[in-house]
Amino acid sequence: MKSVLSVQSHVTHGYVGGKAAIFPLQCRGWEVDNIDTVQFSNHTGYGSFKGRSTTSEVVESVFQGLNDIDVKYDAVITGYIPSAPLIELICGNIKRLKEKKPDMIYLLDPVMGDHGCMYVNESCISMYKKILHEHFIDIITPNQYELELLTNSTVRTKQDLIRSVGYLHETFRIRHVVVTSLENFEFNNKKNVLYCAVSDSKSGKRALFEVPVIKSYFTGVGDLFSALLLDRLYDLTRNGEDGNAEFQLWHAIIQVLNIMSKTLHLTRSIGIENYKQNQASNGKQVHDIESHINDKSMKFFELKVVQAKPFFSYDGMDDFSPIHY
Amino acid sequence: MKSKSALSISSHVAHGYVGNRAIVFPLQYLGWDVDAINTTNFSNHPGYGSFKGASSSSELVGEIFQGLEKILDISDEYDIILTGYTPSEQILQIVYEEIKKVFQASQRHPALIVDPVLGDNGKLYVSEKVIPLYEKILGTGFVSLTTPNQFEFELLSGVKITSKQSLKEAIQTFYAKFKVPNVVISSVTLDGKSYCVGYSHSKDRLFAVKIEEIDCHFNGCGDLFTAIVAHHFYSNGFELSLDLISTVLRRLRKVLETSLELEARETKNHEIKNVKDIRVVSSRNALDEPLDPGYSLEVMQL
Repeated sequence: MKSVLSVQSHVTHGYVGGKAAIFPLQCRGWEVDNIDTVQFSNHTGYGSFKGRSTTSEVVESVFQGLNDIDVKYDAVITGYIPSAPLIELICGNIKRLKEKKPDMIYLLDPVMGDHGCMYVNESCISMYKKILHEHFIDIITPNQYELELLTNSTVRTKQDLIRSVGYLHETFRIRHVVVTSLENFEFNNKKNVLYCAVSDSKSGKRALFEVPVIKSYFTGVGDLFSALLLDRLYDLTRNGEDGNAEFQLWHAIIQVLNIMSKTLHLTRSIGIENYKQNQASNGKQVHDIESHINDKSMKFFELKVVQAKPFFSYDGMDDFSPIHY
Repeated sequence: MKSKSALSISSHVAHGYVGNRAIVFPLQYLGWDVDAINTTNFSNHPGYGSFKGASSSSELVGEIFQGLEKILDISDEYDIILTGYTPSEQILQIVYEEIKKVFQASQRHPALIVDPVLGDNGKLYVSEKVIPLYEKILGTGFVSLTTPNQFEFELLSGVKITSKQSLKEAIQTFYAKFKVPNVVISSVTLDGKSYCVGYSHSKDRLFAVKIEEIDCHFNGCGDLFTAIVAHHFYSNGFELSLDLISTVLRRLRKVLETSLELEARETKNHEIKNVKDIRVVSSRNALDEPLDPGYSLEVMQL
């Protein structure tokens, strides 16, 4: 039985952070322990939210309690952590867990912001860098902006990407770097696509995957992505050298991309249906749905994590293929 | 095509399956969107002999309710509201006030399911001050179903259950006191045997189904029980039936069996008397796999 510790946010309503990550992992058979870094009523996209960050004292105390009963994990995943002191405290505890069980896999999602906009304090950047210098991270999943923040660089071209990903491999000795979404990226000049970049320093393999953009109002997508990725990369990262390393890596990524795509399409279609029903009950007809998907209708487009359950067991190889660069 | 949606107010532990950790995943697995308000933030349950962390403050619980009220209509959003372990009377007081607010404001409201978590086997594990608050909540007229264990039911009804006769009396007294239309007592001991008891006021029926016991204690069992009952209560149009109770018991039994088997295999100990963590994830198939239609549990005539 595989066990994983998930350290990220908790919201009562909606699907971001732990709410987007835990259920899919459980459906994949993981025993998931979780420590909540915040307890909020909902995510910030609603325009209002209430609740609090978990204090350092409580987080430290929960880690101590787990240590007292001698819990060990096969993997750890961290996501949104609201402040630099909490990042330091959480990552310090994870380092000790890894010392206790050196083959434990640690996936760090350096959640800091998106599209040039930070949603944590700037001090988190240097704290994450400090943590990365300690060399106990196995998989990192920044988005384009977070990659730029961690490498003090601008990433717009293939050369930029090779340089910054190489920096993460070499300076921080991270084996798997997966850049979850390159949106502002000069490559092939295609419209309505984004790229997911994968690089494994052990096999020296790297590739881009072209991902069609699904128009909707999405939150929690990165959290779900990281959880699925951990599940699919786990065996690969733990097991020794295998003749088929390249195939296995692509297989893992392609499965994650397929599950994401199915989940996002489902989220969009259920969201549209529920929105239309809601409007109809207020006597309003919806003609041009695209113009209705915005800040005001966003609550209908919470990730349909529970409804996506059948997708989590997907093990095919459809729709996506690696572009070597 | 809005899916089933629940608000669950109970404890959170980082490790193991009690409180919301035993409620949220099973309900999600059965297709529910579950919004969880956590009344504690502990490392694990006290059954381990040590645990750390903290209870949530009543202010935080109040804030979460306020936050929700700003973005949604609680009375319309949820099909059921489930209340479980609350560590202090302050938190339960907040829950009580919020529920009153929601139920008084609207005609349409969720089914309120109250698990009055007080203690077990003659021992309280919450403050005594919680008892009168549960009496208030149960007496509001808003509660659709309550799922106490025998100790809790005796405490709340004021009647000790020692025979079929005193069971009936306890049920009558409880109804006279609180007017809760549906009651499921997770386990009642009569003549050395355990029964799960259900009472439906609208059907004027009392059921008792024999529990095929496993000689082992399982932490978190009561919370999982309430979650499974809640799901079937909803699916059955908010009506209790003999069939419903049997189904719940058979599914729960499978989860417990699997948990014990796994524990025995992992620890290479076949004399386990206490499973600290029921294996909610590993035994998830038991929650929805088809049950053998030819098999039925023993029913006690009352």
